[in-house]
Amino acid sequence: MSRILIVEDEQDLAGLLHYNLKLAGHEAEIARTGASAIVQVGSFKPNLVLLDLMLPDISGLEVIRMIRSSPQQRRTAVVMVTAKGAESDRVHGFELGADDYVVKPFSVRELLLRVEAVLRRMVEDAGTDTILTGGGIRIDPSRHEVTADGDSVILTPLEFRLLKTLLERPGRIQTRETLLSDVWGIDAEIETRTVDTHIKRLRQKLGPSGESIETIRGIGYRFMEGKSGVEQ
Amino acid sequence: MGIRAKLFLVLFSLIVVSVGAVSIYISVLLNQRLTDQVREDLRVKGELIRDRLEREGIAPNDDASWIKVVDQLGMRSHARVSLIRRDGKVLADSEVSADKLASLENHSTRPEIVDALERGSGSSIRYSTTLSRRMVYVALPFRRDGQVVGTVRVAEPLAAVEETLADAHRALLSSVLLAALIAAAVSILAADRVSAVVRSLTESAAKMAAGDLEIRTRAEGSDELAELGRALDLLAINLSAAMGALRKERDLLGGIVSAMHEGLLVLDGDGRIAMVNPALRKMLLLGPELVGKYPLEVIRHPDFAALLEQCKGSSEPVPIEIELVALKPTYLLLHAVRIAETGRLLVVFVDVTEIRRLERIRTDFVANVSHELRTPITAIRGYAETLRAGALSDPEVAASMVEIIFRQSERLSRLVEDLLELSRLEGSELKLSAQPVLLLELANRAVDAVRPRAESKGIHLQIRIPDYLRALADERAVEQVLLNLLDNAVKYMPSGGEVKITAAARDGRCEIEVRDDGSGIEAKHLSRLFERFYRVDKGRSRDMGGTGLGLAIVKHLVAGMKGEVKVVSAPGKGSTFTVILPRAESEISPLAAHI
Repeated sequence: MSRILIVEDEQDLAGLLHYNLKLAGHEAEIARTGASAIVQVGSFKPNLVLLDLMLPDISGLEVIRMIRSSPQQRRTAVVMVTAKGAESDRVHGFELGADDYVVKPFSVRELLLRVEAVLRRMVEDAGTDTILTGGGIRIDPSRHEVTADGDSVILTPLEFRLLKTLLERPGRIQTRETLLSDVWGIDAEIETRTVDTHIKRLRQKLGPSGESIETIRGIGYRFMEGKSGVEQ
Repeated sequence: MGIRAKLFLVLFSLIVVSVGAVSIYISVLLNQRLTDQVREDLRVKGELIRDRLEREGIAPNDDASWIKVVDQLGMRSHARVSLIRRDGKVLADSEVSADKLASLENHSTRPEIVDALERGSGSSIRYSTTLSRRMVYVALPFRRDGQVVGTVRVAEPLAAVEETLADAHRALLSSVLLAALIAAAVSILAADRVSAVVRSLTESAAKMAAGDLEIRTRAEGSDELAELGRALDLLAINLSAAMGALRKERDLLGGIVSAMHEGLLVLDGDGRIAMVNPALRKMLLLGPELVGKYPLEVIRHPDFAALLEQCKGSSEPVPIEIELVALKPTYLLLHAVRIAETGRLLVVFVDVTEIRRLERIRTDFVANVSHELRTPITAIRGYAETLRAGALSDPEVAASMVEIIFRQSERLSRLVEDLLELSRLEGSELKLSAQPVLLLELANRAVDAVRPRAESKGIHLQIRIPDYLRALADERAVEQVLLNLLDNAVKYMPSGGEVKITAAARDGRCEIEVRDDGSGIEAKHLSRLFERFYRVDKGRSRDMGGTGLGLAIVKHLVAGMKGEVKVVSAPGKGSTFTVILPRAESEISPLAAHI
């Protein structure tokens, strides 16, 4: 049982989601504008936000940015609800730290499965306490903390999970498809360049330690300890 | 010294020298001839006198008789006659008195005497000291008994010859002077002519050099100067033709450059601005003094700087698109090409702002359509799925879900219809006719269509249209326009208001007003009200079953009938939509319009 905020300006759709989420045993609230969504994220403290990107007042992307920039709400999962035409919005949403997306018109069953998957991943992330290190990078999953060469790095949940996945499998090539299914928890429905964009941002955030993430051209990525010259 | 002076000098001296030379030759020859003749005459005279004296038979010692005879002979022959002894003593002289004979010097050394004694004859011309004048002397031997005993000398002054010669010299001198005068005149004329031709040629050539290629030397004749003149003319003609061709080409290029819609910037080899065309000036609002400046002084944009940098090495065209934000955002597509031969850089600016704007509108429209269609489909699908998954067994929930499904499917169908209508209008597939239509009749039909909904909300509908007023329009389109406007008014009005539809002729056109006393529209929405999918209140519009396309369709239909549509509204004061359509001439009946 989780708290879920439905951000949707269409009354009928909001009602549909509300009914089904409650039926699945969740506590749900509806926000019909971006502004009220931001207020309700603060008051309702949802575990997950189901966010329509096309809102009457502000863009859904702005809502994601606000959630991610707040220290208290940063770990709130965000599932985007988008129209299929808005590919760039979706990629942008991922870059801003969204956890998953659902395309309209969606199947209620699929949407519920996705919500469950994201919620489950959050629990898993929180549950693993093993501290991972490599190439000057240190990940503390229980505290959701990452340091690169001793400096604290702020990562979005997706970036965090991407880095964690790479570090858990050092020296092994991870194809883009593998990363998509293991990190995003979805089939390779989105273009694989989403993975590339995230890797790029991750490298930038990690600084010199980012060089430990090696690109295998045409296949995927690999975490190589010592690539940065730091042996541990 | 000019060519004229040189020519004059040469010609003049040539003539003077030649005439002078001839004169001197003539003078010398004349002198010779005259002298020879005088001498010959004198010799004959001398021979006669000698023969006479030899025959006289005067005793050799009878000096007085000799003197007498000699004086007589001298008088008669008009000559000086002298009788000279062999030893040179003068015995008698017709010009010297007897008493003075003794004082005469010895004549034996006189050249004519010497010659006469030795060769039988002698002559001489010299100045006589005795008579103080130039004389011709002829001496002949004087014989007695076959023995040469002395000489007879005859002398005449040269005065006659000298006078003749003087006359001749005078004539010659005057002829020389005349010749000199003529020579001067002729040479001045000749020099003038030549120098005038040369000067004219020089002037023509100078004018040609200065750029006046219409000038012609108009040289006549067949001499070298005329030929030179003709060569110059030909040169001018050829140059003029070449210049003309170049000018034509330049004008053509210049015309293209200034008329072209694209901006053009040419940089010289040093990277400074060599040329800017009017289109670019207008596009970038550039100042007047640009040539010689560096382009980055004028166009400050990092991408532009990068473009210039990129073009430095290569001659391949480099395209970039930059966005300039000056007074208004401008999207420019730049193509830069380095011209290898001259090192010049050519940058063509194409303003793609309008293209980008249209693209954005299209993309926005597609995104909007996609969103608008997706929402009812999602709702229908989601509720059907939910019902199937079990909600069907909850009668209370199931009923409202079915209601939602029905409402959303209605919305979907309206949306599809409006979209089709709009695409027909935009694609100009729908040809709107322009025929006289009775506005009252169309308004009645539209009002009838919305009456049930209006009555259910307690809204009063009022029509005030003259029964003769005809618009030149398409019947179905006008009905649709009125229906959409009335529908909107009824839809967004609170219960119990009034909607008035009025029409009147104004300025030769029909003005139809749909006025409601509803809540009105805020000013910020008015300019965008007729855009597709623009909604004043998104949620309310959808809840009312609006598609967001009604007013866009109105605008298109009215524009298709050469009319216009306006809106006046303020919050709390209701809204008035005014449709202006062309008016049909009142005397033209619907029947007449078909003829």
